[in-house]
Amino acid sequence: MNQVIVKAVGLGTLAVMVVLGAWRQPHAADAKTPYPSMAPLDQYLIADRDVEIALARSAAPESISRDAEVMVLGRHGYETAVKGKNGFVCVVERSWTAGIDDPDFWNPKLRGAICFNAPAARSYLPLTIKKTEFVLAGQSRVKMFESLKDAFDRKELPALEPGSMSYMLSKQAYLSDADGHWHPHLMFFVPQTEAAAWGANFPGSPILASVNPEDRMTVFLVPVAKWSDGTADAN
Amino acid sequence: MAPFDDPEFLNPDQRLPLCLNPPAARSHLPLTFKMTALALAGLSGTQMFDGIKAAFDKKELPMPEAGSVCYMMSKQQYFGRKYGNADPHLMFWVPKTDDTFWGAGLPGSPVYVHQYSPEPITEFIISVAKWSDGTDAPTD
Repeated sequence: MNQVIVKAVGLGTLAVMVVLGAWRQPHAADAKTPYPSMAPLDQYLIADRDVEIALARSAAPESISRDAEVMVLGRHGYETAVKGKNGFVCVVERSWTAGIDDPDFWNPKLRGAICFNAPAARSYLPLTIKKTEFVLAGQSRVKMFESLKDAFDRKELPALEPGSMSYMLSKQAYLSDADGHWHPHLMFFVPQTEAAAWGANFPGSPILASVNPEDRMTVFLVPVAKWSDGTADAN
Repeated sequence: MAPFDDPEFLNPDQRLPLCLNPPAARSHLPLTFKMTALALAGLSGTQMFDGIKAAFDKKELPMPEAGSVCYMMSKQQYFGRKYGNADPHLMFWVPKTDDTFWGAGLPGSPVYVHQYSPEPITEFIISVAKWSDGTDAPTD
């Protein structure tokens, strides 16, 4: 999910798409967001483990997710609920994987179902797990990003592997108050580079990008036509 | 640049406009130029296959750089009688890997794959919603 939650007028026009984080000023959202700080942990948890497993799996077509490892969020962090055998890992990310200035950063309703391919599971997922560890330790948003910087500086997080990508095709996902489940899409994670490196964010380009200095990466995003259940994206 | 075993390999009507990003221009375009040179030299498909294989074996051609992306969104593109102008799509080139690396080719996956041969390259393909002129692509 991270910072690539986007506002979209719809794929019918592909005309107006703004990647959050690319235009917001750091911390500017604090005064306006209805989620200025972390809610009680229970609001972020999914009580029924099977429901969380199913939601995580809904990020990718069944042909991929049925053999994927599934991790679920517990009170002490992410834990493996189902072992996989195809290298993919499916999880439900929570709001704190959004950008530092995202108004939904502490939105307890967010459910970012996502299935990572093997390179992303090895090199991107540790970032989500690390952020979660900091948050569950009670760190504020600012403190979490400071801790993240320290972790990068100490090389406690792996470098992104080439070919790291993920599926976000869940119709049941909830990515922001503004956009709900938005559109089915694929995401590609690369070391920080300009959006233009892939021709992203230009008028008419089918590729969106978010340059995320705090995560030391750029995320490229390509909307696709269908949800994981095979239904067409309505917009 | 159709696959060597493609019946359209020597179809003179084929027109495939591509826009390659810088990594792809550096690492994939040399393959296009090499293939073109072999074709213009009058080599047969088999001789071209052998020439390309030898070029990769001798490392005369580069492997795909990380982040190699290409746009194929021209409504005027023509793949041949079978596919016509197909659909607008993006292509990603990576050093040869399994189809499943990106979950490609599986039921319901929006990622398609083409395994080059003899080139040690895998091409992942993702269809997009619109042609470069902004008009809607076919839905199926």
